[in-house]
Amino acid sequence: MEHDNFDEKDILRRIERGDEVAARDLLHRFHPFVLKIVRAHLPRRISEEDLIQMIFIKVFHKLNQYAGRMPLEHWISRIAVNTCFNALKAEKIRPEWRLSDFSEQIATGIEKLAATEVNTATNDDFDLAKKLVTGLIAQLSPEDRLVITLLHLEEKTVEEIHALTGWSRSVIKVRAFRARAKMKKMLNQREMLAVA
Amino acid sequence: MKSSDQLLDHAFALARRAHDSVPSEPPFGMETAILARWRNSYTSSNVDIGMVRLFRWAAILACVIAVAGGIWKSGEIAQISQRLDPETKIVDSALLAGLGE
Repeated sequence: MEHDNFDEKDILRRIERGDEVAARDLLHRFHPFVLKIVRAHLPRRISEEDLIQMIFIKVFHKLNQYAGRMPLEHWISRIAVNTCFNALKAEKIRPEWRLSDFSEQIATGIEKLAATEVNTATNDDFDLAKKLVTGLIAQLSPEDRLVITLLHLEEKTVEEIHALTGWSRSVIKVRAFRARAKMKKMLNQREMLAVA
Repeated sequence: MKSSDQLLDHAFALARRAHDSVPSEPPFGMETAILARWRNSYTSSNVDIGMVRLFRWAAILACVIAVAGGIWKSGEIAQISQRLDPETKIVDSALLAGLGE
């Protein structure tokens, strides 16, 4: 996040006094950041805007509990990730994995992606890969989904995931391993279908 | 041909570079709704804090009055205990004797 003239302590002090301009500044400051988190962990049955609204309402509600021991950005990301995770858990029914869930464009795109080098890839390739990965991740349980997204898409360390979720390091590692195995299995199904 | 493991890593690497357009400002409706909720909770929490402060001061004042009243009337209280009727005194001394055994 850019370090401009945003004075965190001053903003928090003003919000505590009921300054609406300061509350608006905080919202504008962290909206893009929260939006990115929400997009990475978005459940299917809740809109992006609703989730962001829920997160900011929680942030403002708990702001008096913020002790300043960690950067405000980390504190907000923790609330955002946990809110997304709870929303994902609330989605009790996950659709069964079906190859037909992938659009034909993506199914054929997998082969293309396999032959694409990262350095020479175009924006279309990046988007296609994102769709493929998102499609695979969507089939996982909320816990697996959270771990894989944080670990492989947001490139967070096990330590950072531990700080965000509160899960033990070994649980995170085991969960990541199993989730990855599930994703590989899904890809293998695709390969088997291609051979058939 | 890439293995599933390699393909997965490759897909992750490409997906990480996908550009995601993020609007610089929150939608107006959402901003209004969030700030309205914050305003409401701020006002109600201030009322709550005010009530807690009021009750705290009322409790402290009640304690002070009780202690001051006790000190002020301590002489009278001592006299009341002296003015026990004979039967009560007998029972009182019997109880004390029983406790002493």
